Amino acid sequence: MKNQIFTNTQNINTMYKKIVLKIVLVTAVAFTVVGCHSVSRIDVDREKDISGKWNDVDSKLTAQALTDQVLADEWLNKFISSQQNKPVLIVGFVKNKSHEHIEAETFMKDIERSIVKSKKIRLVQGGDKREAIRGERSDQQTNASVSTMKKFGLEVGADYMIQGDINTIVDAYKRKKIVYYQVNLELTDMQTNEIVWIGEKKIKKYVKN
Amino acid sequence: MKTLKYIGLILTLIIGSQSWAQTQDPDQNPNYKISQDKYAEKSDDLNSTQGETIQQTYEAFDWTEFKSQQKQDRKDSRYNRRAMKYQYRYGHQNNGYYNNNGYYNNGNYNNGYYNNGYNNNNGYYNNYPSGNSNNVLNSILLGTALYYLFN
Repeated sequence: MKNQIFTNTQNINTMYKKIVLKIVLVTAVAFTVVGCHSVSRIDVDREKDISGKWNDVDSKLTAQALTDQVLADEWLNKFISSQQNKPVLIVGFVKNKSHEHIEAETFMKDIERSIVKSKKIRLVQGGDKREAIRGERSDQQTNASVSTMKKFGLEVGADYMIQGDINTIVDAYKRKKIVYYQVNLELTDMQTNEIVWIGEKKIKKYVKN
Repeated sequence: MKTLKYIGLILTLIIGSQSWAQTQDPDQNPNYKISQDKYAEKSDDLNSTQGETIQQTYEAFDWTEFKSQQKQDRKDSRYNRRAMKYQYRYGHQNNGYYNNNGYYNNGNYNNGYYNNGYNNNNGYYNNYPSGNSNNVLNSILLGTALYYLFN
């Protein structure tokens, strides 16, 4: 009888231990699932909109459209036929007049890259990067050997400057919103101040929250 | 006279050759020296960032951060309101607990964090009647009650 009671107590103890162990395990798993966040790499060409704001897809579409326009327009052929040389471009500013933070450098760099790759137009450096180049050249005047020292006054002068602006129009009511983006790029002759090309890309989005 | 002419010619040749040696390239900008001098002054500054990453970051909108910030603001607001209420109720007694223990006056509420115009300048807390007017009202009420009681 006593032995039976002892065995029963042992069984109950073992059962309790098992239950407690299960609870601990389940809790641990639950905490792990709730607590962790997942990160995964996705293809850069995959189009995915989350908030409806300006994103990589818009930047890519803008770059593609403007590159096609700038390389296909007649200003290029006109210049090449009249000057018998490739035009030299410098990139000026892009003014963001929209309601969002838009980094124009993402699509401007795509355009610059396509221009350089096309070998139809030459690009020269501008802005901070040009300042840094000149700073290094200045340093060479006193530190580099004469045979490797680069001279001042021999930079390539740009024929055209490319400038741009980004505008938006927002039409919103309750949870619906239409955002219209217009990106314009202009090419101006450095000598005559004449605008020889205007490129544009329009994007219209319907956002429902 | 002839000797002077020769000397002049030689000098011109020397000076000419020196200036030619400076420009050398026929395409070089004749005003290159201006730029060279200008950049000679600031080349150290311009080259100081070579090999470094210049951080020009911006704060992107993050929904979860925005929500947590809102939550924190609400929490702060509630805490401030409670503290002000408590101070309003018991502060007039001047028991030295809230006014002199250095906690509420130690800069926690004056360190710029809570003085962001959110809680202190919206006129919300200024709608409370001041402690002095409350005391006067209480005294009048107490006086009237005692007067009626003893008569």
